[in-house]
Amino acid sequence: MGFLIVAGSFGELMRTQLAVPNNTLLDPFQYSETVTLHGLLMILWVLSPLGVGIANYIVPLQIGAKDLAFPRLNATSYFTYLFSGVLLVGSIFLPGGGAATGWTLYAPLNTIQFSPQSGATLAILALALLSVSVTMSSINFITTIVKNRTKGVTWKRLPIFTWSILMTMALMLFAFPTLAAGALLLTSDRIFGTIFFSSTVGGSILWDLLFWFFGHPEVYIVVLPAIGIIAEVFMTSAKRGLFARTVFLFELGAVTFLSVDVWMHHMFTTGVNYTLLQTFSITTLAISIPFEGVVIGLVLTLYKSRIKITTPFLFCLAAIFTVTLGGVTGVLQAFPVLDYAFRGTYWVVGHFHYVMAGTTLFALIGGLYYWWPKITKRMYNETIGIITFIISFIGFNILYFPYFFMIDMPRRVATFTYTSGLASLNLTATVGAYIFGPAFLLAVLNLAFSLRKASSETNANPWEAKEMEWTGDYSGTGQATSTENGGTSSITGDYTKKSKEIEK
Amino acid sequence: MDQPIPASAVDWNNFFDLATIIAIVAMSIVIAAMIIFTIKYRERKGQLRFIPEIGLSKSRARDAVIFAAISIILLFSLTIAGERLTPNARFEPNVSQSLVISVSAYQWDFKFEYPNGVNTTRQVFLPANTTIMFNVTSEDVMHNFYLVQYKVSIDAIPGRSNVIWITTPPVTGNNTLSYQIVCKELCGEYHTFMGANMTVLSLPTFNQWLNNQTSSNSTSGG
Repeated sequence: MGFLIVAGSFGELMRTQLAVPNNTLLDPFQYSETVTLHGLLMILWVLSPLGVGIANYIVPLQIGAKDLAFPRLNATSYFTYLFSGVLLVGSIFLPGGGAATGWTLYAPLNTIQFSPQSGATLAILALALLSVSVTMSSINFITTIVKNRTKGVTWKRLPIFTWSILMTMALMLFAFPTLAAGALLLTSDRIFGTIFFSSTVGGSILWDLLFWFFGHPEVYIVVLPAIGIIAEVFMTSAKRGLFARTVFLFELGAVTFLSVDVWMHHMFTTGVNYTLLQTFSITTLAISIPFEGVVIGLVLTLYKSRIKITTPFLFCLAAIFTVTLGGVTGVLQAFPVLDYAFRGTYWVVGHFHYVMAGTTLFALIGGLYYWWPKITKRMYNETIGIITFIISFIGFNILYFPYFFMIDMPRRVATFTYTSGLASLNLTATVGAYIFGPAFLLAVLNLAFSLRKASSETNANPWEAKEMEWTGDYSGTGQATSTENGGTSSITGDYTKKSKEIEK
Repeated sequence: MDQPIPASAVDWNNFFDLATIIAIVAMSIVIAAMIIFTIKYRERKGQLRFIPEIGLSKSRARDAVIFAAISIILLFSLTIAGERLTPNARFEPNVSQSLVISVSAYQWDFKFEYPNGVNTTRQVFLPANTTIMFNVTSEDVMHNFYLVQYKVSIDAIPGRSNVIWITTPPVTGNNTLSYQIVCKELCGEYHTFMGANMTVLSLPTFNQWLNNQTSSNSTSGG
């Protein structure tokens, strides 16, 4: 959460700098540092960890385990992550500043020749350290889900959120070693003078390949837990099981598998041969199909249901909106010819903020709201929740929708001229940022406020949810088999069984 | 700026418009369904029904396959349509029928070299109605060479020569057309200010300009 506030403030700072043309609030180097830290923190230290943090609590509950398989490894991985983040933020205070290369850290800008400051080396080492933390976590979660399910929790009855975490963890195990390798090779370049990335014989492209081979699965690592949360919230809010559950899981698995073969769509302008461009264009279009199937499955879950509109539900609705808009803008970038103009401009920035800041962040906060009564045994204020949701959603769109009209504005530029015609769009976006940031912060604080009430004041299952983490009923027999989880609901069964009561 | 839009941008716009329309339609269907379901099936007082799960059955699996098939056909068609709409994007033009210019990107300008050795920095003059090929490389870090109004770009990578090509619009008499070139890849502190101006001249005016450059360059030892 602390990282969210730091990175969020950086985002606000960037928008302030871009509010008016020729602004001098931040000098170009400081702006690049801010951009870099905002990106790294948000993607790697905020979004994913928030999802894993929720999973840390909820997955054991969902499968009836007492804790993760290796509790001390769990603690180690948390503190490693925390320390790596502190290192990263601290790197900007070293003489010479921190990394100013953008979160993508392209070569040869990232080499000692063009980024001589030690802060950049520290940032890269922080990345390597984070990879260690992530690897520990993924081993822990995968082991837990495979081995520590309680009696009655068969693979067929595994909750959707746990499925999404399992897939996320598998992808993490697959992708992060590449990042670690790249970071260590780069550190070797910077400290020992090797020439992996500084060589003019393919050094730049080597980094591009390594980074994006990690980077693309990484963005699915970020978004998969959010999809799992949306599924859970929709099911409970709509009081129905997931639409075509097996098909849904199959599609989610397809997205996970296919995410490893699309990475070169980040390299459409590097001058590689046309056959490669065509291949990766096809694979990128291909992955959009199961993903769209997932989204449609979520929407159809609401069909012929009985929806209770609550703050978590609203956040997840917003997340579906942003993933659809973000998704189609991504599909447009899958065409190399169109990408020649999109690449490196604010169109791309709009696309990934819609899917990351929009879908992932909204779904994660929705998940926090949803499981809050379970975790804290307190209920948040629904009215404040709904109001702050509405304001942050409006602010979010004012902030990011203009980006799709700023195709002519390159990314990571510290300012723009009066004659570029970009002034009004940028100012609009900045206004949106000032609305979105505080409103969203309030939405999160709303949860914290509820902690001041005494606990157990309210029903520990206010949604009358039937998922196993709420009822404690893991074998589907109608009886709570684990006393530590309550079992307050008298409604038996869970969503994987067909009900004998049919609505007329 | 009442300048003619270059052909490559016209093609790009057509492709973009087509893809965007399809995207908007697809998105509208999904979002409309979501909103309609939320409103229509929201909980009202006095409702006490249990809703059965819609599980996997032959019809669901069949639906999924139909959906996938429709999507594949749609995306495939869009790909083909895109290739048809942007015919010049794919194949390198004939070198002998083009003006070949070497572009060198460096922190933080673009340098242009003409076939006869003339050098310019931060600006490039081009003849109208001609196919131009740019051989783009970098002297230091990765940059991106973007011809804004042509909607064509390529990375400038040290040790590597990448090619892009455009066709300049026609120009009559002494008119000039001005276009922008910017760098789209973060390349260091002054990335914000990195760019160049492209001026398109009619062929006679261009030849005159080139001759002037050549003679002044040879005296200053280019």
